[in-house]
Amino acid sequence: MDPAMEAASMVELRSRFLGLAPSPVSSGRDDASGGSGREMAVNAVRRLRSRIWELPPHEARVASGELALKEFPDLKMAAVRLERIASLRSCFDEASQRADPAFMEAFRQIVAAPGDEAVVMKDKFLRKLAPGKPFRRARESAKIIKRRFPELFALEADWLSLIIGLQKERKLVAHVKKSWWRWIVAFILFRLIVKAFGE
Amino acid sequence: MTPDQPDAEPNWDLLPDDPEGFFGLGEGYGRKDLKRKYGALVRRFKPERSPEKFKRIRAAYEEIDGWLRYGAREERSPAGAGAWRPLRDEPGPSSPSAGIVSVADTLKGLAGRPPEDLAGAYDELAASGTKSPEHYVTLAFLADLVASDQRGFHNWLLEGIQAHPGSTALDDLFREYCRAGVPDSLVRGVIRSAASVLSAGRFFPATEPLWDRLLNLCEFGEFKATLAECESHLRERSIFVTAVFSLHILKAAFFKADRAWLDERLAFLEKHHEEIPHFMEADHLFLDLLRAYRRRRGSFVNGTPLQREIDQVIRTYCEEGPRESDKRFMQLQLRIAGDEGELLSTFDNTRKSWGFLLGPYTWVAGDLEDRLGEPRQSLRRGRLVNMVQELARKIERRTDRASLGVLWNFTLMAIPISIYAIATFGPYALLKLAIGAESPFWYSYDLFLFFGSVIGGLFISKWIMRRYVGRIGVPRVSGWFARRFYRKRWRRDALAFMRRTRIAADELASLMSSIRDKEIATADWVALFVSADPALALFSIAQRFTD
Repeated sequence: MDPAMEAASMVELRSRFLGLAPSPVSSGRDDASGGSGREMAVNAVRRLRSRIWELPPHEARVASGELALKEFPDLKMAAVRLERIASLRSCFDEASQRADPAFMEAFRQIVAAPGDEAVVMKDKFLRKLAPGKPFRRARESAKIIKRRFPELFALEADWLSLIIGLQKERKLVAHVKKSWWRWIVAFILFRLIVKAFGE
Repeated sequence: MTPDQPDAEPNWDLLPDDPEGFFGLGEGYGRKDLKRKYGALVRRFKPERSPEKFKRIRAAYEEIDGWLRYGAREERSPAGAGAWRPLRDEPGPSSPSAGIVSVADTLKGLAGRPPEDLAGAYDELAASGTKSPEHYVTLAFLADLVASDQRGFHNWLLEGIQAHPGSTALDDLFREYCRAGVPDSLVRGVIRSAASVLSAGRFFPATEPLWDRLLNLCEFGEFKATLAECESHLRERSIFVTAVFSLHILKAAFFKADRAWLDERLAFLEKHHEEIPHFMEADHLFLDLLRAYRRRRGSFVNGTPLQREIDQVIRTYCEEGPRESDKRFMQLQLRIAGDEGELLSTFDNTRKSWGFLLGPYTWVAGDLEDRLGEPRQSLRRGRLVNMVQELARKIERRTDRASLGVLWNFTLMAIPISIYAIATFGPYALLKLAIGAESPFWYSYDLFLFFGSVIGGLFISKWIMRRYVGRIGVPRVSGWFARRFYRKRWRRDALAFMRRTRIAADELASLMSSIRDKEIATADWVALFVSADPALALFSIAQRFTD
């Protein structure tokens, strides 16, 4: 063994031989490497996400509950959301029968997608939402979810609320022209001043 | 192969002689390039699956990082003076080491033998006059077997380094020992022994991990005294190496150190700023951010629980390893993203400047993001521009419709009209009062004075508007209204928009301020407040880390 080549192994052998605990520096530094443990957890959450609608609900719940995510609170949150989605599977099925199927399909994809992807999907859906019948159907579906399935509504409350109030919103932003009444107010004000000083 | 070709097998033969070639680092690379290449390889060779390969990658990474920071690259040449020769081939002191091929074999071979034999071999080798680096290494390992005192190990290595300053083998072994083999009880002792033997150029790079641990093992006063003592013993002090070490240790000690020590160290860095290599300038900048934060920290941590948690995240980043630091940071992101009410109420003072906090906090977030390297999706810029314009219109319309908005518009109209009225009719009325309305003068010149004051008032009011009202009065009045609107409505609108689009606060502010539509007068105000609002900045960071 050449210390210039295998110093790490030699020190490790010695520590093992003497029964020394690994030093905090060396044990802590592995994590700085790019988080290999994290990558495994990310992959596990990704796998669960991709199969969330295929797995039987109880299996999906068990799978998300079994993920070792204690060290990664952000992934834990994603897993908890997936677990919640799995537990609401029957609500989704019931809602699909009452609401527009195309809307429900998009809704399913959006709730299970990671945050960034979901933002893009939601925006794409809104942009494709043509005025008229498709828009009315989507708005009705969102209203049904809000009224009858509050647990589902809570998963994407902002987006569903946006769809419900979209018509109002579109009118609001359609054009911004300053109101003509301010010129009338200005004119009256001017007349009053002139009159006051004139007398 | 290089890490640029992700599927190809790395050229392991390049290690340990050519770690730069192994990572595929081009000329003029920096620490960021190294981190990126290292991260790509570690993702393929994970410690739990390929522990040996991971260890080699890690060692190569640390070696280059050490070169970059301390600028001391050691040439490895198997044929050079520091080359390792197994003792079997060596004609030197004979009997005790005869037949020894390697240290591992030595230990294996000697472990089962009676203690007297080991003690004899050790004494004989120790007493021999001229010792090679290999003898010192063997003595270091034998010392563990014959003496219960573990100090023998590092003492023999240091004695070897003193006797053979060019030995790469002894140097590497001692560095690795400092990195991973020193028990808590010996940390201080090893540092002190090394200080009396090594030059500054070798001492700080080797003992850096021990200083990190010493900070956690003892009171800061003891740490400070040990550092001062070691620095006084060091031979060939180097400003460059001391500066690099200071950059490292100041970060870890920032929240524990007393102010005088910090000031002294920071002043040293300021004085020798030129000596700091360009790739360490970022670390220097981070210390500046920490210094600004420390000045305001006292009042900040006395605030809400969320403020204390933010402080703890910054502190943990400086003092703990990435595992604890990342976990704490992620927990905070969930808290921020999950409770907007707490966030907005904590940072409800929109007049205060929070740059002291956002500097180090953004740094911590950026570092973690670099390490995670997880790709993110976002909306296309063109789409974002349209959406921001829609938001601006919505805000404008709602502001116009609100009663406070009506008052705002009215005030803005009333100001120039009032000024014109006063400038026009004020002098006319005063003159009339002074001369008297019944005066004959008045009958002759009334019409002339009236039109004169109307025209004169126009110029005077324009001058007043331009000089005082337009520059000071209107912005102040508008600022007063805008601030109220921001706190009551716009802030929540902006936050909801950020949640919907995942846009960053600074990007939102920048797109808002680029709106050139004169009909949307509030966009500039929204941009101004959004860019200065720490709550929105913290929220956009939190969104980057939460799904």
